[in-house]
Amino acid sequence: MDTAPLSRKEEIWLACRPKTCCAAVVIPSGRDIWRIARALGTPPWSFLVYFPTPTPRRDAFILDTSGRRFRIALAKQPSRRTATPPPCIFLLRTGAGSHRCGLGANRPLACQAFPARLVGEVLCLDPRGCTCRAWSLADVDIAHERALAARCQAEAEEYIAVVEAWNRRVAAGAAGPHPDFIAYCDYLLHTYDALAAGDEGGRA
Amino acid sequence: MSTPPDPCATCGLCCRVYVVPLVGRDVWRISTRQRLAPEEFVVVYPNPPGAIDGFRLAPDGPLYAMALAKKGRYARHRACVFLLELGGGYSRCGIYADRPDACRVYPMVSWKGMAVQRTDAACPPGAWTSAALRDPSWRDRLQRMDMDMDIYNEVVARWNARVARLPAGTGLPLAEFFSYLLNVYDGLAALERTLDEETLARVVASWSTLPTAADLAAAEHEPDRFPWLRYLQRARAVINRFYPEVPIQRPFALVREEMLARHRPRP
Repeated sequence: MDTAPLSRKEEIWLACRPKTCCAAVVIPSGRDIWRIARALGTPPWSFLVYFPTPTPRRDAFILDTSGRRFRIALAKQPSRRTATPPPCIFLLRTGAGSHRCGLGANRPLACQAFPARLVGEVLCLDPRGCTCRAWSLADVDIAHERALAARCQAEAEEYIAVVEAWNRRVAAGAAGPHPDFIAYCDYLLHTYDALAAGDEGGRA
Repeated sequence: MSTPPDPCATCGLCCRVYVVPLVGRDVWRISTRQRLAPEEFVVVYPNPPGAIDGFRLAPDGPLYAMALAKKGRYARHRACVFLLELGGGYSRCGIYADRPDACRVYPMVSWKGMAVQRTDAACPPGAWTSAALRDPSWRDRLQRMDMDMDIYNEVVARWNARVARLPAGTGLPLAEFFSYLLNVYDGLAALERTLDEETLARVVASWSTLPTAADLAAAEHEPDRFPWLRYLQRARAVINRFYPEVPIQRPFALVREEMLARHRPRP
């Protein structure tokens, strides 16, 4: 019946009642998606949305050879409020108005790292989207945050390689006659299953 | 889809149709791990007249029970406050690792020492395979629920003994009961941490009703024969440290047995 000690940053995040940052658009990496889907036992399309991107990006996937490219984001909850962006699909709201992330430790790395990011080699705090406090580097464990930000970047690069492989398959007609978003989600799960098996094999 | 089929994945009916009862350990676990005040996720309601379980807030007041809150204003058939409602009809518990005992054992109940499926379970027919229902972990979870319920009854009995000494017409706020719960379960968690995994497993597996006179006599000479009894005595010692001005109350299960006997129809 232990309660694991939390970092100061985690305590601040948990104590924040409004969790305004959870209304931002969250772009997860493929590994985030795989981690969440496998932890919850739900297909990725049940918690993701995909949207066309007009600008060329390395993390954008295709579904045909028309040139249209798409990106993914965590889905939002249906909301009648129009003045504020709708909250993340994983955000829980208690009766007294506090908010909690239903993913806990499985939330995307981008969420875990917020508001820290690496600019060059410098760890910076970019608390745009946060309304509960003025963040300071004194609030965070700098070494831990640097490692987290570096992991975010590494997983983003890994995802780009996974997307590029998918795009080559679609372009070559090897992803089926009419690949759709569900097929792309399936591809992500299979690919990261294989990568995870490789990780395990590497450790053994 | 490559995700393996799971009867609960697109159902979540049990998270919508039931009132989920809570015991003190549930409240402590959710509150400390989610850093949420009990008022954020607990609703309390008066037990029907004649009930013998529950906590009082006033010496002459009703007995109350606790349940998980629902989304929005409380209504029996609303979704649980912690239910994540995803796309495609999928839903998931947002505090799965910290969910209450009642959710952990669902849809099973204990019957003659065995774990059997509830006949009134809300699960669609055939949702559970016989292999899943035969999983031995159900028995462990049911045992743990019994243990948590018995200890909660002791915790509440201590609180009620304190409330009973208040002047008539006065009472205590619910927030004070919650504070007591979090304090006493912090002490009980510290007690649990003194046990290694194997010892705790033996305590849970052997959990039973309160001792008979024969059990007590046997336990004096063979303390390891009744690990649950030894644990209960230590738990009662933790609980009885609270409100030292209040005389130690008798074990709740004995009191309940007497009350039930009084209410039992005579032949």
